Amino acid sequence: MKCQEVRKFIDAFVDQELEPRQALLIEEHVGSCEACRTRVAVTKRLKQEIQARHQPLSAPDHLRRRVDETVSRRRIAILKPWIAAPLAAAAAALLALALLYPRVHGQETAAPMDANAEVSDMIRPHLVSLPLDIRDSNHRAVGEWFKGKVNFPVRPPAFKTARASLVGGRVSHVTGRQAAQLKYDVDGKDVAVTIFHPERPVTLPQATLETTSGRKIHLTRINGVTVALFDDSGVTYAVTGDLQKPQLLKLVSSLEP
Amino acid sequence: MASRFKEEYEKALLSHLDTLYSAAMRYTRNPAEAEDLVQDTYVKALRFQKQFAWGTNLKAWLLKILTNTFLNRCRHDQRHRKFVDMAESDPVYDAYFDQASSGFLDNPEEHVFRRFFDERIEACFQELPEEFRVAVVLSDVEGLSYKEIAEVLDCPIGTVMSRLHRGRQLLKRQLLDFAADMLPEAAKPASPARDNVVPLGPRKRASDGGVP
Repeated sequence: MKCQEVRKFIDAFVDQELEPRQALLIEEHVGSCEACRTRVAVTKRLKQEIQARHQPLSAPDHLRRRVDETVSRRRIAILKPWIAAPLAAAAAALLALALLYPRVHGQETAAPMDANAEVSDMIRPHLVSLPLDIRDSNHRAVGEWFKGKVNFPVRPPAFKTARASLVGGRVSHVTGRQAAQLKYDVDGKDVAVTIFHPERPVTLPQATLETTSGRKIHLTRINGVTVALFDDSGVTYAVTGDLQKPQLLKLVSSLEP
Repeated sequence: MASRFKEEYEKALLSHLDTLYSAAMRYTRNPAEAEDLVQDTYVKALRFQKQFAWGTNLKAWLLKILTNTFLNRCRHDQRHRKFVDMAESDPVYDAYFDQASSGFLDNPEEHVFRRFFDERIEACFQELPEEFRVAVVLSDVEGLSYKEIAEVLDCPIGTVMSRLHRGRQLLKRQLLDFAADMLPEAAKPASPARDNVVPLGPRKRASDGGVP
């Protein structure tokens, strides 16, 4: 057998996927061909190292609980397409900010990127295809549900206008950090609240600073979606929706201080 | 009766959680993304329950959902796209390998391998284009046979072999570059072919195929 032919089968040979007859032919060739013998040795070693350094993992407890609940309680809802835009832009906005800072998990500092277009592309399908983990209008129940699923307390904000109601929530992430995402129906429109604990204070691009009800709120509009960002008890809240700035600001001011 | 069946199905689903989490972690290299991926997989497994033929390979079916979800996300994620020369073989690499291996890698040196894997394997895995990464993970980490991988990827066995081959080839090239860099100048083999090799690295997004 010629080397060129043998090379095609070396992976299968090392993976023991060849029929005995074929394997024998390869062995015979390798016995007298140093180049191919080296190839086999390197391939074998590569495979061994990959196997050795990737021991089986156990799912962490909080994931096990989350999945267990999904499977047994079946509290699942499919996100309607019209949530996609506000949520997508929200996450896009958050990622835009978060990408300006070093990633967690020991990765190298990334230079600030032109985040908007890339981030929208990255996030939109990510959100569109994901359903709510829990569908419940009871704030306390939803807050309780997040216990053990994210490593910070989740208190779904209560908008004090009669036409706002909580629809549900899901666990999400913002640049590798856990986030709680809540969906509200405000007068027929979708409003999302993303709660997370960033590594360092975030700033919104081209944002105005408003003070209302004693709270400092950063307000901006990205990709047709308004974003309001504020801190409360060490946790960051991003409220997003397809509303005009004054409307969203009014909504946020209706929250309890 | 129906509810007992449902219970059994749910139990069977949960029994594969660790496998799915392992694979998801190896695909994404990021715990939060991996968890989302696993969660989505379970939601889909419940939604599409009727498509699963009871008695067939549930693990492969779940891995298929997980893998498809992962690959679909990658396709939308512009930042992670890597251009890949889908040719069967890489003649420039082959030439380089022959030259390099006839010199200092006659006996693959133990410490070279060890250092490479200690220092570089994580980065190399992340650099692998997703289609190849998936093939290597399923084969070498999850230990699936070519036939099982073909089932998970829903493709012919020939495609499995070619993706695995390319994935390993890319990793080997990284290894050889690393080894060459480790040697003192005097001991390096004369390797004109090496100049033509486009090294895989964080800055390069170019085609890693034959044309330099």
